[in-house]
Amino acid sequence: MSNNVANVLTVNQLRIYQWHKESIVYNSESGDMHLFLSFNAELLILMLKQVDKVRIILKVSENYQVDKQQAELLLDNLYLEYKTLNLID
Amino acid sequence: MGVEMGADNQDQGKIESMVDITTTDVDKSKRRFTKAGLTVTPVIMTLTSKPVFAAQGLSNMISGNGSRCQGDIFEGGRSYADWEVGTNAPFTKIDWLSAVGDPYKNVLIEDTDFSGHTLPSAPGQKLVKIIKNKEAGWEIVLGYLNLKYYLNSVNPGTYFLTEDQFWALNDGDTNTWDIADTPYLTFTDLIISNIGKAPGDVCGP
Repeated sequence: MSNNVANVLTVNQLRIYQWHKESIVYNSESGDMHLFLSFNAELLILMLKQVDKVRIILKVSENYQVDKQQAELLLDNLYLEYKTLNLID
Repeated sequence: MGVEMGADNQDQGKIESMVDITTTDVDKSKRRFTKAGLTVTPVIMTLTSKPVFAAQGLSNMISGNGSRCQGDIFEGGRSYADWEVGTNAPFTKIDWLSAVGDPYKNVLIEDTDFSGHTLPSAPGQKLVKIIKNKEAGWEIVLGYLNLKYYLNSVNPGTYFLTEDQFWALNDGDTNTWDIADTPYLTFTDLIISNIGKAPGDVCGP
């Protein structure tokens, strides 16, 4: 993916613009805009698409080179934060 | 897209590994845990925005469902200029004041329905005068006059706040309506942000 061209996708009320390093998530319901690391935006998309948690944990574990227990902790914290931001139900 | 997007993070891992070569006495298990902890925060920056909630009832605003405002009948109210000058057709100053019911022109704020409620402005002042001079709390007085006007208008109850909502917000009764549940910062903000909004206005950001 080019650094200059964003990959754009819409999931529920969220419009997500992904660049190589960072992504912008625009919530059309709240009007809030968030700047994420692209990997975290990817995780958000997977959560929104209700992908099996085990698969997401595996992805986190591989990306950060941590064991599955730590990956799950990270994922749970991410989930809570996204919930606080009204990005997921 | 993005399955390979963790490359940067992997690069970061490599850099940290390089740092490890020159660093001794590092508790690696702790460092790894810290790394996981640091990456917990997904947000680099958030810009919070105040969506344009045009002519919706308060409950719809709180619901956060923008599509519900379709077909809404609510009005955001008239501006202070309408009340002070009253030249906007088809209304006149007398029309507005008679619609909310006399004797608002000459009665002090503490002798109106604000009696028994939190006074937004200092006592001893008349409602229209408070608006005209933009005394402290004039926005809430304006909201009140709009509320009364729409209750007595040809389409009763079309103001975006009901009486119960108005008094709860005025009195800070968070059990009924909590401004923290709305996109607005204060009750004043809620009133002023909706002035002039009419049914059919574009809804949502």
